[in-house]
Amino acid sequence: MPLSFALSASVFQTPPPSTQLFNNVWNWYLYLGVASGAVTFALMVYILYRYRSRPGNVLSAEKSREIRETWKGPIVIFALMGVVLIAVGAQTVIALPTYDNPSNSPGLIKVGVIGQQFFWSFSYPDNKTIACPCDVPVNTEVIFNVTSRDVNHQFGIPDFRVKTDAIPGNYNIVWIEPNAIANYTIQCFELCGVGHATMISTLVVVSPATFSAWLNSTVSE
Amino acid sequence: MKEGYSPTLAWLRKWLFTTDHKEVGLLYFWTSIWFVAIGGALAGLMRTQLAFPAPWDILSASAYNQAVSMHGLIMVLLFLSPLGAAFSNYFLPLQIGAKDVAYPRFNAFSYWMYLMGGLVMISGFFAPGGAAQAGWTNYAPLNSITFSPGPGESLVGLGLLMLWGSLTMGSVNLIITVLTMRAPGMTWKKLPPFSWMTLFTQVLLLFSVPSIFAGTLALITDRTLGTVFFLNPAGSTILWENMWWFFGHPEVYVVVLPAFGAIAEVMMVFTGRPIYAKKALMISLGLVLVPFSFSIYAHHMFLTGINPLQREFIDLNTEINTLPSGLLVICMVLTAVGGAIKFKAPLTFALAALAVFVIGGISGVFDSSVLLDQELRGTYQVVGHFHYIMVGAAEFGLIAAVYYWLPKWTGMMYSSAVAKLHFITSFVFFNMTFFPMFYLLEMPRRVYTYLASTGWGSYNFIETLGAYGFILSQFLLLYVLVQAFRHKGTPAPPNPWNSAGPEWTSDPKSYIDNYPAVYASAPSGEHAPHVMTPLNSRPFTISLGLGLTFLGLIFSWALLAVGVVLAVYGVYGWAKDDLGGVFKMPGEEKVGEIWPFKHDGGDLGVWRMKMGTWLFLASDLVFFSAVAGLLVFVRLHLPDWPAVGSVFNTPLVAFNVLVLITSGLTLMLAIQDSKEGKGASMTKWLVATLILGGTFLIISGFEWVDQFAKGFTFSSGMPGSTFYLMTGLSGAHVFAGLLMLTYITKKGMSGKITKENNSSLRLFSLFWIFVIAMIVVLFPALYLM
Repeated sequence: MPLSFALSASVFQTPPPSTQLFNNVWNWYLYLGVASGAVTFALMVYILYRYRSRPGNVLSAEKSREIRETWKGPIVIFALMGVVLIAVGAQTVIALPTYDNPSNSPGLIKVGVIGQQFFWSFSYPDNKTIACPCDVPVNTEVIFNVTSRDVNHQFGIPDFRVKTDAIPGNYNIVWIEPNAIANYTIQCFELCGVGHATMISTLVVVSPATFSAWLNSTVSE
Repeated sequence: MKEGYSPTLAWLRKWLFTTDHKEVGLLYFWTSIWFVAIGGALAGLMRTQLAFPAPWDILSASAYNQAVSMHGLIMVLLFLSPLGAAFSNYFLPLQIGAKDVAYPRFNAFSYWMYLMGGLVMISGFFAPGGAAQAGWTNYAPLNSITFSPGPGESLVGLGLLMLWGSLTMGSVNLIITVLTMRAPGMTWKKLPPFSWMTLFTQVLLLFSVPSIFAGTLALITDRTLGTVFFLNPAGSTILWENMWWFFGHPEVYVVVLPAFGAIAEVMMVFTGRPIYAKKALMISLGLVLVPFSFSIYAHHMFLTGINPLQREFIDLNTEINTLPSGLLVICMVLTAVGGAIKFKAPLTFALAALAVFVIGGISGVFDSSVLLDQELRGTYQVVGHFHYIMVGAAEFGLIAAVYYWLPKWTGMMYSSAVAKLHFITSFVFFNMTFFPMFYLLEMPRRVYTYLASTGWGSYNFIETLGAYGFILSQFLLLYVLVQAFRHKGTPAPPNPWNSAGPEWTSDPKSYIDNYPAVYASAPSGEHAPHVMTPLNSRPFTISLGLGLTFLGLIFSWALLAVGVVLAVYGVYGWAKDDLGGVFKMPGEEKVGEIWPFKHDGGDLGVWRMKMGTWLFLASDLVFFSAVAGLLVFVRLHLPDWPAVGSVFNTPLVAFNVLVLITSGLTLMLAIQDSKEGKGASMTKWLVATLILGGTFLIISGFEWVDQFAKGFTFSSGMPGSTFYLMTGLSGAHVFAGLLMLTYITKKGMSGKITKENNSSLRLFSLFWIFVIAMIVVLFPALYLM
């Protein structure tokens, strides 16, 4: 199974924007990375086979004492690697502003995320705090403002390719724009204590109508 | 032979008290093997727990967290780096044609501090609540007493302190060795690649350790005295992560570079070709890889919310640092061009290391991307990546070193069939264990269980089988080692691989001299009947004392008392040995090329001590910089800081600093007198310096008491914590200086400091002036800003 499958084998028909951005950059790294690895391995195998010790290939004293100082070779190697690294690095640099910054489209919704040993809670603009799961409307930009009440946690929604640290006293932002009505896993990705493995929540994407009905019906804690 | 001579006692005495670099190297080696057995067993436990999804329940969450934390700490700090150090200790002096390392006693001291520190760390398993469970990175605030109340985390902190001491001494020692002890003719151009890599490794350690040294001290004061560095949001996780990764990232190269040194040696010998473009390679490693490894550590912190521009800068730097690493691999491969390659056991492991390093390196480029890191961070992709580097490249490289140098160590050959079987099983099972991790892009690290619905089960099951196979295969290596060290099998010729490496030409029979032909006279020293090594018990005594002291802090007051007595006795004995001239430094009669440094024409040993002192001060400067960095960090993140003059008694402090500066002047006068041969007057000035230094400490102590009375305590907030840490560390430096000064004054009183021989006084003055300078710089920053 190619590595790219492991990522794209997700629940989406059309991936949401953050996932698309990520997958695009990921593919650059994947294809160029695998190609570079393949070239290196081919070179290795060829050299090891070609220069193996055999009756026709015995080492001369000159060969074992030859001075092999060169700058040309290393510069060519640097340049070749540099081209690949610039190619992939550029993808990151180009995509990063969009990935980092929410577009602030009208109708967006801001959700506060609080990590605590060992659960997530989510607060909505009307200041009602609602424990897990996290309900959001479909086709709407959702901005998560992430913090923690105790230790370091890490808030991640793998299907949307977003993740950020939940740090006490700090607020970090990620955004998503769900485009299908479905449930997604939210999980903690930083060791936070004995409950780390089970610090799992659900992102419930519902229709806007259901969402506003749900928001109005939830009683403030 | 002495009356009552016992072979067992002689054996014990030799291994406890040896200062011979070869024997210390072997101690490092076997100790690291012992630690890897523990680390490997923990890995086996973790893999067993992860073999099946929930409700499979072999380890509890707490047990799993202990295993995962201690596995990381043990494998990186107690196994891989010391294994590299084992080879560096043994082969660096042999490769450069030296009799020993620059400071043999400190070398033994480094080893014992490592062992005792490691034991303190793992003793947590026997403490109530178990070992540390905050991950090997010990992230704040999980590492604080609030969230990790058990003693396990404190024991890790205390053990780490000993380890940092060990690494600092070791790095100064090996750097000075390679800088100043190369035999005539051993020029930089001829320096073998393994020695180069050792030099790079130790330079990395020298400058990276002080940061986490300061961080660990702050952690310990948090956990024992109630300071709040890692609980207060103004410090907390970001402060810790900066201090940890400034060390933690260079540490990766510390682990990998010695392995690559061995790989380079092996490539040369078994292909019959010199290293391809060695000069360009070493320059790119020394000028790009080493310095850049300090500038990229924050790629471990992409998701903490650090400045976006900084993130991209770090991303870029990380990719730049791929260049010398990539060049290293390609140069190793190209070395074989034109050769006649013999696929012996050392070469198979060297090639395996190169191959898996390619995979580990390329997978790491993914993580260097700020964007991709937002999905990959904290997942099994990262676990796969660094195991390909750590187990794959580093451990395979060091196994190649074992197979390559074992005949030199033991004088015995090993079964190449067993070695090849070891290679095949290791390589297959390694990939079986770690390659599936690249598919687990959504599985979090450090979870003790997962749901069956995730579909991660089959990958994990394969990984577990691979891990079992990998662990079992290592018994083949253990068999080879035990056979060779017990001298079973066929004896090896002096240079079984026909290597051109200088270490193979050393005389295996001459324990002390290594190269009797180069150095005609043997040094005098304390010799046991048939043990030809200079023995000294102090390194062992001090380390044992410190270890017991730290264990005693957690477990029992009696242990603490014994430990303190032992440590004090050891330090006292060390000074006494010096006064009595009991322990002789290896004094070479000749030195080779020492560029870019100059030998001042005096005694070589003294010159070496001076160089070492400067290096140590460079490291101490990084330590003070880390502390200053902590102050800056805290001030930037904390809006309310006590106004100047509100809490601190500034005039008193100013007077106190003046007292300390005056002590510098009196010390200078003492040096002047010693140069003129005025022994009595010199002693007077030395005593004056002692009194002034002591006055500084007393006034500082008075100030502490005064602040405490005002309610400004360790735990009263971030300003208090910072104040006490900074003044405490400065005070500790002054206190250490006064101890040394007491020794020097004693020496002066007994007339041992003369016009010709005043080096101890002059070396001490370097340290004393340095400490005064630090305090003169730091105190205004603390009190007046």
